[in-house]
Amino acid sequence: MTNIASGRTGLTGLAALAAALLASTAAFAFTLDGPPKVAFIYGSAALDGGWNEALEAGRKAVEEQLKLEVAVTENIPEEATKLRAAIDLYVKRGFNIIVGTTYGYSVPMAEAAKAYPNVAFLSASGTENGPNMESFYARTYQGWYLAGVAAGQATKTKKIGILAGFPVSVVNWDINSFALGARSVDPSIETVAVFTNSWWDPVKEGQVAQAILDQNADVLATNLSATSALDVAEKAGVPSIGFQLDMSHAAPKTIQTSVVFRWEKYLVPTIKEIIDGTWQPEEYGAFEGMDAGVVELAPFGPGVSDEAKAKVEAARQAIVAGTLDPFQGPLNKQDGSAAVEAGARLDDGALWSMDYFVQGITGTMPAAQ
Amino acid sequence: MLDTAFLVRRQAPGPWLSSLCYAGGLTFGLAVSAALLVQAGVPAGALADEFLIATFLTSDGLAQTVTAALPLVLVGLASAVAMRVRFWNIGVEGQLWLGAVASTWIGIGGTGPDVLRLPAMLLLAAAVGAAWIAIPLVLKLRFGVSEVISTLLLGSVAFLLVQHLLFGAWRDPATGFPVTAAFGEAARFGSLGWGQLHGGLFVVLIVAALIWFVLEQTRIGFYADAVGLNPKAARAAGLPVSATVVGLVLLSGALSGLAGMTIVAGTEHRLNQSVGSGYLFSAIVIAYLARARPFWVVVVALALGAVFTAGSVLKVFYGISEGMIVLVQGTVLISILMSQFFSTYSLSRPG
Amino acid sequence: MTIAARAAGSPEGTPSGVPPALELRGVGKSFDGRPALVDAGFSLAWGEVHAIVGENGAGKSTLMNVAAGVYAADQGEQAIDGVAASPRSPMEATAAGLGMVHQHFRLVESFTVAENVLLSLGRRGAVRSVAQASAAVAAKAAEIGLPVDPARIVSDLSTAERQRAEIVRVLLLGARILVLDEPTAVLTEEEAKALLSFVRRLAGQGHAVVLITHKYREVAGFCDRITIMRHGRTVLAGAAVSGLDEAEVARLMVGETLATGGRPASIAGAVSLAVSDLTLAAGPHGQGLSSIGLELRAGEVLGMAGVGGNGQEELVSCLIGLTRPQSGTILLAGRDVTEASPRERRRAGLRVIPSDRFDSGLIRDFAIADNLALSRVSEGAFGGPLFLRRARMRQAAAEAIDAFDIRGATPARQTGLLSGGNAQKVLLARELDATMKVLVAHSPSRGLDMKATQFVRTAIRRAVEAGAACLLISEDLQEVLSLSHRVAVMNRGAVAGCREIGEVSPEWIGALLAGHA
Repeated sequence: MTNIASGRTGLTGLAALAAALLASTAAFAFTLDGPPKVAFIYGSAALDGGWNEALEAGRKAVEEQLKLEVAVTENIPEEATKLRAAIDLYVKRGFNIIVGTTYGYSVPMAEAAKAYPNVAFLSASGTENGPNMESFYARTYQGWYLAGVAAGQATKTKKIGILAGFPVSVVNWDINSFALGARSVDPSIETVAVFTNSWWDPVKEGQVAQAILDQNADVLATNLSATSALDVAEKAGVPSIGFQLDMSHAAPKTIQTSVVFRWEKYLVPTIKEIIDGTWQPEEYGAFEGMDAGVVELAPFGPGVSDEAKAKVEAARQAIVAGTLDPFQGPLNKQDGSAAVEAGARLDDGALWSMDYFVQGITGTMPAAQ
Repeated sequence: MLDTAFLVRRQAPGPWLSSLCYAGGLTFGLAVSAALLVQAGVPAGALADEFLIATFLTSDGLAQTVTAALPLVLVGLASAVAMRVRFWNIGVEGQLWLGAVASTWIGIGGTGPDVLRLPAMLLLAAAVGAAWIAIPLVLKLRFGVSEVISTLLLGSVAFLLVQHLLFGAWRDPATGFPVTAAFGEAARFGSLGWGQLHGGLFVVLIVAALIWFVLEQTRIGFYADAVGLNPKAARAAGLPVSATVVGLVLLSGALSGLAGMTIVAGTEHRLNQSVGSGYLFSAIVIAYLARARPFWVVVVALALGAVFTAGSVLKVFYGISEGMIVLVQGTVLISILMSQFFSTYSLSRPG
Repeated sequence: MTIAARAAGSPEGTPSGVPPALELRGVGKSFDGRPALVDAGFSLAWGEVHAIVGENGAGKSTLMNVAAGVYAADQGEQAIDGVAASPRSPMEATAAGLGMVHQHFRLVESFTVAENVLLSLGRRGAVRSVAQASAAVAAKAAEIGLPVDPARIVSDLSTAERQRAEIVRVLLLGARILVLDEPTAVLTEEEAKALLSFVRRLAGQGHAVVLITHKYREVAGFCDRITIMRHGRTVLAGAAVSGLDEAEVARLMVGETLATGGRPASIAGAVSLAVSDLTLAAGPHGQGLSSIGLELRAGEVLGMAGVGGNGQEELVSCLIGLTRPQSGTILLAGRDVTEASPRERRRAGLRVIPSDRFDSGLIRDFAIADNLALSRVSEGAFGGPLFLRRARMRQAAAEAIDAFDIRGATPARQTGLLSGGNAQKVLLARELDATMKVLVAHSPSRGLDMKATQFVRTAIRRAVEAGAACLLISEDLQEVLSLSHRVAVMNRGAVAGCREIGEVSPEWIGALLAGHA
């Protein structure tokens, strides 16, 4: 979604406006050559307990609902040569809908999309788009805002914690939104955010979780695929929040809820459009939220009070209705400078380049020059 | 074990015996691998199709093999030239990362005239790779620090540097993802119109030919062997021992750096966190199987490229796991190494 | 078998009717088609010390390795204590009662002696702990009168101590027949004497001992019977030592009589090598040097006698330029080379035959042609900086192989495969070239057979007669006395004394060797 930013600035010029007009008139629906054959390519194991597994659930839904057999390949590293080899092999055997599942695939997929104009490419958390390629992600921050509302009601020490992988925008907005949701309950709540600098490191995650608890936080959320943090929370008897899948199995007593993906809500209709010949890839990629059902909350855990449930549900209704936006101004950054002016909302371009923490978060955002 | 009655050291294995053992080891390894793969669910009939035909006899397969082999040739040579002087360069990946970082710096910065972009990237990548190995080299020569440890650890340092850049100064400004922006056209090797094969092919061919010439035709290769096999005798005989070690070790680092450059300028066109992974293991395997001979490094690198191609076929269509593919590669490698043992020792029945 | 063998009959110590300790008959063994043993055999009696002598490569070690289960024979029969046996491993041979102590000891360096014994004994027998092993070692050592401390770590032991530990280990494993492969080659004179006396005692206690050697003195002084090998055959088996003299043994070993040579017939000229005040601090493993001074003239051999380990290695290392001394100067043909690299010293005319030819002389895994060219490639003798003329190297090597009569050599053959004497010839062929001015020869005939020794000494003699100066450092007194014009003695890193050959007396040398001067 590089294009989101460049597109925005481009619209300021007349020439760009003309180009945009041309582009929109030239946008024909994409049609497949032969019978639909779908393949998913994963960067690691499909059943990883998190990100991939959520997509894998979407794949199964596609198989069931569209009566298609969907091929799977796992463990293709994020290298152009390796990914392209897998794509070439699929295309040569008649596959014409390829779903890539990690952002590192996006650029090589875009090159493959140019080479194979009759093949449709869908890139999860990707950055590239084209006449036969669409990147897709979900407004996860909406779900995290609700998780924050739940956490804000559960905390007694007014300190909550969250573990995350790397300081990239899709992670930063989850953390910020989580903190804002909690502060909507009580503006004095402080959020401790720690990056593990890994997408998958159960041992380290357990240690980090313990360290957060040691700082007197009494709600623990994880933005990662492993359940180590939840194990720690369950042992300590501290309310917890999972991500990507319903993680209640890891902390059946203490879990509050999990922010989950429902990729079938995007994948099934999109692949159906591709098969029907009515698909027109979004110019800046598909970026759906709770209104489309792509992001949801898993069922509440046993420890959540009815009052808290009601409050979360009210916020959910407002988000679906569009009357509540987590990043509604005025918002200040960690250092006190303005992030969003009063009355303004963050547009998608600003979301995708979010490289700061909002006020109320304790933790260090690695400097981005 | 070697002094049991059954093993007798051969006086001098002839070239025939050596190649016979080599071929025998390869066949045995492939046969065991085939059995493993069939066991794992690949239909026996498909093995030949997928392995041989898709890998060697289709244009795409061949192009992919050659493309994958390009950096393998360079890291294989890097490992081999250091091995000749018994310097264990376990930091091939570190120098490769540094080379990739250096070329990315020029590639995304877009400094200088377009025609000089690629040459500048080549030179800087080689220089930075050499500089990175110079640290363990100095530590070894000056303080006797084992290069096995220092090169290995500096490899991790290099990767941390890459992470630092990708999560800091170089992260994609639009999304915040830890990948750099794409290189401009001037910083990419042109496509040769055959699969993903790119102009880096010529760089690799020229470099490999030069290394072959230096090690096999000039006195440098002679010095290297003498220094590697017996540095004390070499010094006593008046050979420039230190200069030979320093020269070849720096060359090793430079070659690793070049490998990093050909990856980012040839196929990836940007820097991310995974472009340099896995090359250390490959480099050592290639240099070892090729017995540090440049010509054979090229041959073995191509063979390993073919194994990667075949591996991706198995992965894509038969759900064979990554672990299984590593197992197959290991089986072939062990078989060949064992066959080398039997070309040195013969079995003998007690009378 | 020869008539002499049959005539020797049963010696003292074995009553008739008692089976021999070891009997080998008609043993044949080839390596890659090259015969190493042909119809070899002898009989070993209980209670005797039996010498096996022969030139390098005559098959002495191979024959005993067959008996000890290291190699399997192609043909032949073997019996231990009258029972037919063909041991398939050293463990089997030891279990049958035959143990061999090799030139390279089979001990784990980082273990103590007791731990090594425990390791070998495995789970058999009564010894199951380090303490029990220690007690067993101590008991065995006391029984046979060999001082061995079970608690010491092998890497801390001297060579002689390791050898003793190895002997005790082999005996503890149950060996009653002890095979010693050139045990004195690595020992000083004193240590050798002690070991050989021990061997006699052991035989007196009823064991049987095989002593592989090529020193006649050891045969005459300590052995009962002798078996002589030549070209893989036992040309004389089990003859009584008392019936043979040195010339006869030499004739049977070599197959032809040897001409004895004297010292070079040349007159000393200008000073070629002048060393003064050479001082080196002692290291953790090395002897230091204290203020060494010597002067060597063209056409002269200066013999440097001394017991090994008194600074000889360090002196050679300083002369080559591998070690930097703390002080002192070295003048080579009038030029100060104290700070010069090995390469510059070579250019100035220095040539070296080191004591261990594969340590700082030759490269074991190199082709013979490459070793011959080693020092000349950098001089441009085989092409300029761009092309190395390998064909020219092979051509030069073929000529050197002819000129020095290097047996079993082709230019492409690996040097390490040559026998000791022939490898030494490769070194001589490289070092003794026309531009040589000073030759430092350190134990140039150590470990060589008579013929090869003769060859080396003749080569040195010729070189000196042609005008070179030679510093001959050797532990072999006979060698020093027969070649040198002047003799110096080294003791504890210093030159203890130096005299013209005419003034040298055994008493003088003996006193200096012992450090009494």
